[in-house]
Amino acid sequence: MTLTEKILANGAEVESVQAGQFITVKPQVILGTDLTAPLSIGIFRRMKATRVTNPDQIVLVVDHFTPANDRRSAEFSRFVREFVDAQGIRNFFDVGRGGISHLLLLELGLVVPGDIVIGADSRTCTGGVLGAFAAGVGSTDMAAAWALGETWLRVPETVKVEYSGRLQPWVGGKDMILRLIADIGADGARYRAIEFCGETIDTLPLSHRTTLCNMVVEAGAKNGIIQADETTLNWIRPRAKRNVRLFRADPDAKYEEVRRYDVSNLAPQVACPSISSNVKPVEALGTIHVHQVVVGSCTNGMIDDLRVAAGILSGYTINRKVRMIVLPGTQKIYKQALEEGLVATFTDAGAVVLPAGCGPCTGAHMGVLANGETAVTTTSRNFAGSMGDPGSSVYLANPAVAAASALTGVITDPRHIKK
Amino acid sequence: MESRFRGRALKLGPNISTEQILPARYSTLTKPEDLVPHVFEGIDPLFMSRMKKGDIIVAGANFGCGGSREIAAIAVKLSGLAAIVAESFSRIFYRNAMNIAFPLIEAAGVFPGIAEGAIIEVDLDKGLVRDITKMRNFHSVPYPDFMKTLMQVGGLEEYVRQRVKKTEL
Repeated sequence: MTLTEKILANGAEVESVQAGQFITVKPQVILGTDLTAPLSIGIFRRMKATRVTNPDQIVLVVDHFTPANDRRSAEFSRFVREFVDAQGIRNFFDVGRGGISHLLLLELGLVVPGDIVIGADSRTCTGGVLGAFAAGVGSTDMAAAWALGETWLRVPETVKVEYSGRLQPWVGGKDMILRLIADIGADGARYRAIEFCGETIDTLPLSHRTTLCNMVVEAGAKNGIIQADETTLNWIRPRAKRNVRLFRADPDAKYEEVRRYDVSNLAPQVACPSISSNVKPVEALGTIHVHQVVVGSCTNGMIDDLRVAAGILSGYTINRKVRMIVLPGTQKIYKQALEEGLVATFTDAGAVVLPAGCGPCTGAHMGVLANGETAVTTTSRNFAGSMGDPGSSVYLANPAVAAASALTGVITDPRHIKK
Repeated sequence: MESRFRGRALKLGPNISTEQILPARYSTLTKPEDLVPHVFEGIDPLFMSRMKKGDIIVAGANFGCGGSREIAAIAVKLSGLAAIVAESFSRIFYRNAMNIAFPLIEAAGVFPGIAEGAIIEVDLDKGLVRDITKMRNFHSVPYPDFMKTLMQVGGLEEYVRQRVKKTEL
C-alpha cells in the first residue's frame, strides 16, 4: 500500500484498502471556517442532529472575513461563535487568536502524522505536510461528520513525485509545485493522492514542504503527502497534542504514476493568468507591470517566507506605482515577524501588513483588485476574478519574485536585485 | 428525482472555477432568491437571463475547480438547471453535487460533440447522454453504488437525517 492507503486503511480499521474503494473513517480533525461552517450549521440542524458526536474532533477558525468586513460576514462569524458555545467546542480560534486555519493546525500540533483530516476548505490538503491524510470536502460533508463523527471517502490512486538535486537560491517549494502543475495540468492529478519524496524533499524545510502540499489541489489532487521524517518530528515534538503514528509506503506499493524531477536547474516559476498550470520561468515573462504585490497566505505565509521577502526589500522602498500587502499566516508568525524586525522592514519599504487571515486571497476582503489591475502574489489561485474584478489579472510566484517585483513595478527575477 | 430527462444544452468552457460559478462576494448570501441571479456571473453576467428551467450545462474538463464552497453547487441546483454534463469534474465540486443530489455526468466527447442549444437526454441509470438533435450517444461511467444511494435518498443531508433518527429510536 502507498502512504495514503496505509493511513486510510488504519482509519477504516481494515487490513488493507485499494484505490477506488469507498470507506468510512473517523477523522481526527474536522476543520471549518467562518466561510463554510455557517452553511454546515444550518444543514446540521436540518439533519435533526442536536449534539456533535465528538467536540474534540472539531476545529473552527474565523479566518476568511477577519475582522468582519460587512454585516453579512459579521452574522456569519456570530453564527459560528454561537455554535461553538452550544456544542462545547474547545478548538475555536476567533479574530486575533489564530490565523489561517491550515497553518494554525500545523502550528498548534492539532494535526499529527498518521491523522485523517477533513476540512470544508479546499486547502485542507496542506495538512499532508506532516504525514497525515488531509483533504478538502464540502459543507454538507462537514455537517455529516459533526453529526456522525465519520465521513465517506473514496481511496485515491497515488502519483509519486520524486525530486533529486539541489535547489538554486531564490527557488523553493512554490517553484517545484508550479512546475509540476504546469507539466501535469490543472486537472492532472484529479481524485489522486500526490506523494512527494526524494533527496530534495529530505532536506527541504517544512515551510517549503507546506507550499508543496498546500497547492496539490491546483492539480486537482485529493491530498498531497510527505512521509514524516526528522524534520517533521522536530516540528511536531514540542507541539503535538496526540500520539503520532508513523506510516510508510510499502516497497511494493502500487503507484498509478511515478514522476521524477531534477531540480538543480529549476528557475523561479510564475503561473500566468488565469489558471495555475499556465506556468513560465520568470526570465521568459517579458515586461509585466504590476499594481499589487501580495506576500503571505496559507501557501507562503510562514516565517521563512516573510524572511525571504524582507531580505529582498531591506534597504529599499517599493515602487511608487505598487501597493504591497504582507499577509502573515498566523498571529504567532506575525509576532515573530515583529520581533525579528521584519514588520519594520516591510513598513519602511512602504508595504502594509494585514492581520493574519485569508485577506485578499478570496477576492472578498482587503486588497481586492479593480478592473484592469494586475497582481503578483504568493497565494495559490489565479482564476479570473479570484482576487477581485473578473477583469483583473493574477500571477502566482514565490516570495522572492513577489518582493523583487514590488521594488521594480514589473515582474522581476530576484536574481537581478543587487544585495 | 427523475433518472431520465431532457433539456437544452448550454455550453461553458473547460476549467470553470467555483469563482466563475458563484463569485466569493456572494458566498455569504443565504436566501435562494438572492443567490440565484448571480449563478455563473463570474463567466457570463447575462447567463441567468438566457437560461431556462431544465436546461443542461455542457462543459469541458475540470468543471468546478477552485474553492470548496458548496454554496456554488447549491446555487446551481437552485437556479433550475437540471444537470451538468462535462468531460470531467473537479473532485470537491463533484462531491458537493453528489451530497446535494444534483446530477453530474462525466462523459468523454460531450464538449466537442454537443452544440449550444442542442436538445439532449440524460439517463442516469444507464449512464448515457444522448444528443437528440444529432442522434448521437455519449457513454459515462455509471455512479458507484454509494453515490447511487446518496442520489436515491436525496443527498447526504437526508441520509444522515435517517441515521440520526435511527440512533434516537
